[in-house]
Amino acid sequence: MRQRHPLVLLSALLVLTLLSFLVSFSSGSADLGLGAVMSHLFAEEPGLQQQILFELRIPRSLAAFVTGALLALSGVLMQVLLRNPLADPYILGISGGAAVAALAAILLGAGAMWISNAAFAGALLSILIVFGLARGDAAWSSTRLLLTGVVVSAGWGALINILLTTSANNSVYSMLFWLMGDLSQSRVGWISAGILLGGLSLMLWQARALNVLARGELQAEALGVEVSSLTLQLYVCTSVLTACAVTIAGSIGFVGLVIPHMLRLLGARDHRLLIPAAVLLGGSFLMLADSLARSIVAPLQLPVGVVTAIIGVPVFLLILRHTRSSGRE
Amino acid sequence: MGDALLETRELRLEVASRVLCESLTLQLHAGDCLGVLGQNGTGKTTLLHTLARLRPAAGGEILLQGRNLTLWSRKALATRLGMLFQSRHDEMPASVEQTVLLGRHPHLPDWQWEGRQDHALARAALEHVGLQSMARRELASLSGGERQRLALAMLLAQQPQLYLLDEPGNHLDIAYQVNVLQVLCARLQTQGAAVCMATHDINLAARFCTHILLLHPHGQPLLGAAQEILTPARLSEAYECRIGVVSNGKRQVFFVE
Repeated sequence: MRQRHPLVLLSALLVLTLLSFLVSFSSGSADLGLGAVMSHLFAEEPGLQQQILFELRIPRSLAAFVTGALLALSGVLMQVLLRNPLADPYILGISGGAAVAALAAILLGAGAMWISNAAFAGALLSILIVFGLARGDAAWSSTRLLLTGVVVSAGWGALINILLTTSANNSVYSMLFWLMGDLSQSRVGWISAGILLGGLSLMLWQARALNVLARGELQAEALGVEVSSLTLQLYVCTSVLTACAVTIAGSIGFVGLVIPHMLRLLGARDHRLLIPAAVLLGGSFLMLADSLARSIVAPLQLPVGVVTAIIGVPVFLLILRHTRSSGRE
Repeated sequence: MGDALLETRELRLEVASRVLCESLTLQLHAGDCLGVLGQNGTGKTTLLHTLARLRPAAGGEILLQGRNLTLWSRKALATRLGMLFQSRHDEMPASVEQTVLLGRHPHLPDWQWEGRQDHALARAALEHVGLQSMARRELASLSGGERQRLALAMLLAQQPQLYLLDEPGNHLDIAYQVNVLQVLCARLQTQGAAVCMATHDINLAARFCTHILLLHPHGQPLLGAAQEILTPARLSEAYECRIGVVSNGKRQVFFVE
């Protein structure tokens, strides 16, 4: 199953993405099924249902898609940057910085927009701290970057715990939702969509160089890759993508780690295929997870981060098992 | 003799402010196979990395085809100069076929996919190292020797003019050690290429190298034609142990007494 034509996988993912949009449009507490969604999408019928569709569901689906795509892409890039298949977008402390700032904003009683802005500022602060410390005067190495990121991340973790244990009960509830990742307040604007498209195009352009970089920095340099420039692009790109994702929806776990792996297990090792595939699968996966999050216990909603883990873990284990039992040629 | 493919002028090598080599001047021409010998820590790998511009020289200059090495763009450099490393990073999954094709990277423009010719070169490279039947295999499923041969295949697909080899015999059984170097030496003749290889295996060097650079733990390295440098006396001095030689009239074998 490894050597299929790349277009087969991409077409399948494109179909999955379209289906996920439809599922996502038609799930939620209000009774607005697939048939109604189709008629509202393609015909002008003003009314409450159309309002729900265009003002609540479609923006939320788009937010889910963009966030999932950002996280999956960021995960792919982080794994090449650190040459560690276990790296995820949050490993360098970006989400930690965002979380501390967002939680502080919640503590101060700020509105949703200010929480987002604070999260973005916190993420940027964390990126700069890790970058500054890892760079030092010595040459930049992925081990040093990883160590610095993990340590800074642990520091943020401690601050998060301080904020959680010292806050009043009602704000702890919002804080926990933020920490688990939640899309109920999320909207995406042109900026996030632009960041996703920008990151996607830049990295597609560098995709073959990323294949080479995956074999190690020295090897990549010997094969004509300007490693320091590519590493910097990767760091900036993966950081901004992650910062953007946590700003939209808090720290949704699992997507950034597992989507790249699922695709690799399905045969997408070449970054020219892996990068667009991760965007599509990450986006659809999060849309589907969010649809479930809104329907399992409707009218209540679960934080989507919980659902990503609940679906992702068994699916991932199944794929892993299947590829192992089908054997390697 | 035409212009040198690679030339060093008073090259100085240092590692962590320890001087490995004060002033090395050498020329490599098409068809040359230079063996770099010496004890552990005398700077064999450092020399190769410096020649590949993977680390800066502490002094002196290096010219590739008459042009200062620092003036080449990375990509242009990689079309002329290829390197086989002593160790590899195989954490990220990839197939054998994909890995060999990476050797074509410097020859392709940014957006272009590998064409028919690149695939043909990659297949031929796999055949040269006897891995043609494993093209679909995963990197993780290969043995140490197979990985070494894969790295050599990637280097063959890269088609540089100067091959820098760091311990080419690593992990290979004796038949393959000779086999892969024969493939490379055939290229020296047909493609006007040159080889510079660092090795611990004096016998492998004696069999294939036209010239030898013998690094000394203290003092200046010796450079010369292979039969001139590869003598028990000179080797014993460089390795600081007694080295003997036996010969059957056709080949010589060096050993530690």
